[in-house]
Parts: sequence; C-alpha cells; structure tokens
Amino acid sequence: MRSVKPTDKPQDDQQLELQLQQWYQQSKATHQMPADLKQRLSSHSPQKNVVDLTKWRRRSTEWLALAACALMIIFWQKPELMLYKIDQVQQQDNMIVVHYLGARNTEPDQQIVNNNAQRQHLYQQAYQDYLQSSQLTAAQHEQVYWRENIDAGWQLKSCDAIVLQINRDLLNRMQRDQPEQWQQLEQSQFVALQFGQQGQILGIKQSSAAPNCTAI
Amino acid sequence: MGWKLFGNKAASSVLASHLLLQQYRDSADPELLTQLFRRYADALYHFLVRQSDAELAQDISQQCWLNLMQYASGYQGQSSVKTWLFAIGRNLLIDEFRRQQRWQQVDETDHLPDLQPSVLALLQRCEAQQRLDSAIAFLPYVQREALMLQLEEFSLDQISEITGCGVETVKTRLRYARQNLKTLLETVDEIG
Repeated sequence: MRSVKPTDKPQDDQQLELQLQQWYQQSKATHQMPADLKQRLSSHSPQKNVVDLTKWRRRSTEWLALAACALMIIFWQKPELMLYKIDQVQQQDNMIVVHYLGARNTEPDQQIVNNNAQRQHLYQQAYQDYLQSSQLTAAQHEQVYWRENIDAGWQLKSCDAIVLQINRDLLNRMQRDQPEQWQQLEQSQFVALQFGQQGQILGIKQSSAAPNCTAI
Repeated sequence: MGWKLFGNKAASSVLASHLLLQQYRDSADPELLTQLFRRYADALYHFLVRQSDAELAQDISQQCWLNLMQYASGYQGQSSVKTWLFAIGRNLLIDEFRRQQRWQQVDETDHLPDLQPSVLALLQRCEAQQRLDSAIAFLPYVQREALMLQLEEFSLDQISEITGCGVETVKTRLRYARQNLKTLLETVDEIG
C-alpha cells in the first residue's frame, strides 16, 4: 500500500472538491435509471400481484430443486407392482405351500417398467388379473384359524396343523398401509382366510368364531 | 379564501417525502408513489451502479422499490425517506454480494490495494475527468460508498444511518477516500 502524503495543500483540497462535484453531477447525468425499468416500475400498481423478476431469477434454482424433489416424491409414491405367487416346498416329510406377496422389484422387471408400451401392457394385465380375481371372489371359500404371535410374525393354525406363517415384513407393510385392519387382526385370536378357486389367498379378516374342529 | 386555496395547492405540490409515503401507506395511491419515484429513483440507481454494475443496479433498484411498495408500513419516520430508501438499497446490495460470495472481495477494508503498474498505466491513459472516474472506482468499497453518499448530500449522521456504522467511522472513511484519491492522481501525474 502506498502511504498518503502527510501534508495536503488547502488549494489542492478545494480543487479536488470542485472536481468531485463536477464529476458527480456528470456521472449522475450519465448513469440514469434505464427508461424501460422506469416504465416498468412506474406502471406497477401495489394492488396488482407484484412480479419480482429479480427474486424469481434468484429463486429459480430453489424452484428447480423443489421441482426435482417433487418429482422424486412422485416417483417414489408410484404404486409398487406387487407380485403374488404360490410355491410348494418340501420340508422334511411335508409338502408346504408358500404364498408369497411382495414388491416386484427384480432388475428385468424394472427395465420393463421403464418402457412405456410395456408398462401399459403390465397395467392391462394387472387389470385383467383384478377382473379375474373379482370373479373368483364369488367362488371363494372361507376357513377360520387360530392366530399366534411368533418371533417371525404370525402363525395360523387349523385344528391339526400349521397352515400359514405370515412374516414380519408383510405384517409391517399391512400395519403401515391398513392400520385399522391390522389392529383388528392383531387383537383377534381367530382369523378367517378367504381362498379363491385355485387355492390362492384372497383376503384375511377378523373372526369372532373359533375354528370348527368337531368334524375331525 | 383565495389565498388559502393557493396555499394548499402550493403545499401539495411540494409535499414532504415522509408525508407522501405516509399517505401512500394509507391509500396505496400510485400517483403518490410516482412522485417519490421521480424524486429518488435516479439518485438511488446512480449510487447502486457506482457500487456495483449496471445489471445489478437495475435488479437492486427494482427490488428496492418493490420493497417500498410492500413494506411502506415499515417506515416509522425516524429518518428521511431518502435515507430509508438508500439504506434498503445498500442492504440489498450487500446481501446480493454475500449471496454471490463477492463480499470478501469488497469487504470493509480501508486500505488502498497495491498500485499495480497496469492500474497506473490505465489511469495514465485516461483524460482528466475519466481519470478521476477510474480513481474513484479503484477506491475501497466502504470509502467509495461514504464518498458517494456525501456527494449525494447526505449528512454524516445520515451516512452513518445508511451504512450502519458510527459517525466517526464515516468521517475516517471520507478522509481516507480523499487522501487515497489524491495519492492515486498524484502518482499518475508523477509518472506522467
């Protein structure tokens, strides 16, 4: 930094002041607010909704981020494609029927879902399944079982055998998506399963009656 | 009667700015705002353009007037409308500098940066008036700010109010601003 001279002549001071005054007036005359901005601000009415372009420009990135978040939420909120399948598993001397309900999240399926035409096809298929299941519901039959809490979830027992185990993941999902129904089932000692014609489980509900074991 | 009528007309034509703003606050009459705008828009814009650049000065001017429209009720009358308006403009500008992380470059240092040969060469090439213009632009931010406000005929108290620092600090900045200007101009003269 350069040092300032200790002695300033009064005459120089006056000259500088004069120069500064002239410079300032000239500068003000040169740098006036642009006419279009004046026009824009003059025509602003306080009753009108004020469109603050500067704030908009400043907040555009914030809006973009918000929009991105909204898209992410919409994406994540997209209903999961559910998969229901029935497998038979040999366990010791018994053949066990495993009903599986879970998210259809395997890699190939995700790729399929990304394709619009194929996605439409899947929706159509799901709708047909729904129609079919509605028809099957009419032909359903119902069985009542005992419900027991176990570490892995729930266990449903008929008079002489364990019929079904419902794992904790599925229960948690039910608790999250259908809390009232879950609570009713949780508080009930007996539950009724509804089966379709092909043995698939169509529903589960609370039952006030115990299983009828007199027939055995 | 005739005199009284004339007197009222004269009074309304030179209505003090604080009354204009108070009436605007109560009535939201755009004509009152236009009068304030005519009085101060160019001066505020000039102050902002000297402290930043044309684009930013336009943005901040616009924000400043929109703020006045929206928050006219915030004016309590402790300071003049012009002081209040300039303080709003100054704060918005510094907020913008901070947002752009430019405030570090223009912060409150009172020191004149080292005179690079390129700066001196630039000043040398300028005509006398333009040389002063360039020298003022080369002043530290807070010194140029105080000088601009003083040239806009704000008092020391008003500058203190606008900049949010004490009167003594304002005096010091003004003194340094003039000393630095002389140093710059004299150095160029000596080289020339």
